[in-house]
Amino acid sequence: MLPLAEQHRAIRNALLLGHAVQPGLISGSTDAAELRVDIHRNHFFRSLTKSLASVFPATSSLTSPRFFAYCAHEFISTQPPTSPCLFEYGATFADFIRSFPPCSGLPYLADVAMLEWLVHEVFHAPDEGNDFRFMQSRFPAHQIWRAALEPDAPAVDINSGTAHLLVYREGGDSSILVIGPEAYALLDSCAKDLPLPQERPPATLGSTIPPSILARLSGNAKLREDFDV
Amino acid sequence: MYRSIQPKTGLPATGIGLRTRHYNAFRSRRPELPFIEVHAENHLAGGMMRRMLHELRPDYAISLHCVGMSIGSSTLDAAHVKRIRTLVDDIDPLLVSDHLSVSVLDGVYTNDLFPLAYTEEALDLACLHVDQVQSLLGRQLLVENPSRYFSYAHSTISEPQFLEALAERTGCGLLCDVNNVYVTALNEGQDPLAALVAFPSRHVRELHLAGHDKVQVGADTILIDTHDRPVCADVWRLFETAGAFFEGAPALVEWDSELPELEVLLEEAARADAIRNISKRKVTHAAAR
Repeated sequence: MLPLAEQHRAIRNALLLGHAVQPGLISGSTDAAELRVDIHRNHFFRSLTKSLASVFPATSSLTSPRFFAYCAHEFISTQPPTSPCLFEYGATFADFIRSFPPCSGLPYLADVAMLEWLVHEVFHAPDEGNDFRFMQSRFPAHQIWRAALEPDAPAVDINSGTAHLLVYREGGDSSILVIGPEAYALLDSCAKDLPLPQERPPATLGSTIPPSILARLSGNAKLREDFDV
Repeated sequence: MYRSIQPKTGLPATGIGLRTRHYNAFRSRRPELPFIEVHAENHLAGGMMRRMLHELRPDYAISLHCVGMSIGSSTLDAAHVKRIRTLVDDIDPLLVSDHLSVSVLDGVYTNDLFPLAYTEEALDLACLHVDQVQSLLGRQLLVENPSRYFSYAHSTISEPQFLEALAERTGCGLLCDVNNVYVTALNEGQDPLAALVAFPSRHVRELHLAGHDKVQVGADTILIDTHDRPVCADVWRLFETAGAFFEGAPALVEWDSELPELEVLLEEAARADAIRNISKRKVTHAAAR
């Protein structure tokens, strides 16, 4: 019999990669053993696919359930969970979609997935601290997201230009706010700890970024001075 | 003061597993229940998932059911257990449990409860891990019997003996999932009642009830622990015996997918209470400990 750690590696490969189970490991015939391990394999892929579909509902509805399940299966096989908490699984799904050739026909899909991950992350963020995220997309990712989830949402012109988006928590839920490129640049500089833009930010910026988030950035001296937070 | 698991009759009462989808209905209805159980791993972050527990905590005892400690793995993920500890410190749960299974295989978290071979080596390791968990949590862990779809050719210890030795050596309690007893027994061609009688009853601190599916796998009919339907008639019958057999243990109705209305879970819990002749439920938390 293999040592335990090696046995578990073999079972991992059986689940993830469909390798045959080590002969003699499981009671009964080899065929029966494979079928019994299949029950766990199916549960592994199905439960994780279901979890991804619930974190990425718009990404899922922009494709067909079958295509989404196919993407999820490839993602799970190559990037299986490394945490026991399901809500932490899927951080790299958007990047996976971006580089997964079968998704290339939907160039905005990765950005919608990224937006959904940020919404999810902000929802689960600790109550105090860094509970906002921001992103830019060369598509109106927020409009596509809405159109995918709400049947009555207005039609989307996917070529309407770059969107700068802020995701933050308002009450218990995540909210998405369209911010301008200046606000995006400001948040980006703060996040990367880069020097802030030299010119004084336009006064309108203060009304673009919610005060609760400006207050959270108030450790930054120049920002504090400019916005009086 | 919140409701606890011991009713005035001195008999333990039945709680339900609370899932996010039922949260709003639960909050507005505030059903008379001795305790609720949640999956610890879903509540380790902040936000609404944690606030939900804070909100219910003044009125309900909370049991934390874990799926990711992976007692049967070759190494224990202490960092994960420490995260569970922060939740334990936060909500002071009535019970903390996990499964006798492997959910981490060579660094991959499978979100699945893979069974382990019952050997002396595995027993030593499981004891070591349960000891570590209990010392990291600063409290007793309950270990649940798994649903199994196969057994290992090299197992040398029976499942009841393994569980009993684990409890004796570590001081952990046992969670007897009556549905798992049934599913595993039939999948192995054994008598479920005999399997229940063999269960090391004096270590049992909680009972679980859930529904299962029946599928054709090759030439065999296999029962799969799906938690997606009502408890079947056979498992209710087994529970009648279990209820008397594990007298001091509160029961819990688990339902994880294809969730029905909250009412259905409450009805199942009431049915479990009726089987055990439980009518009154409120007592102090201290009496339950």
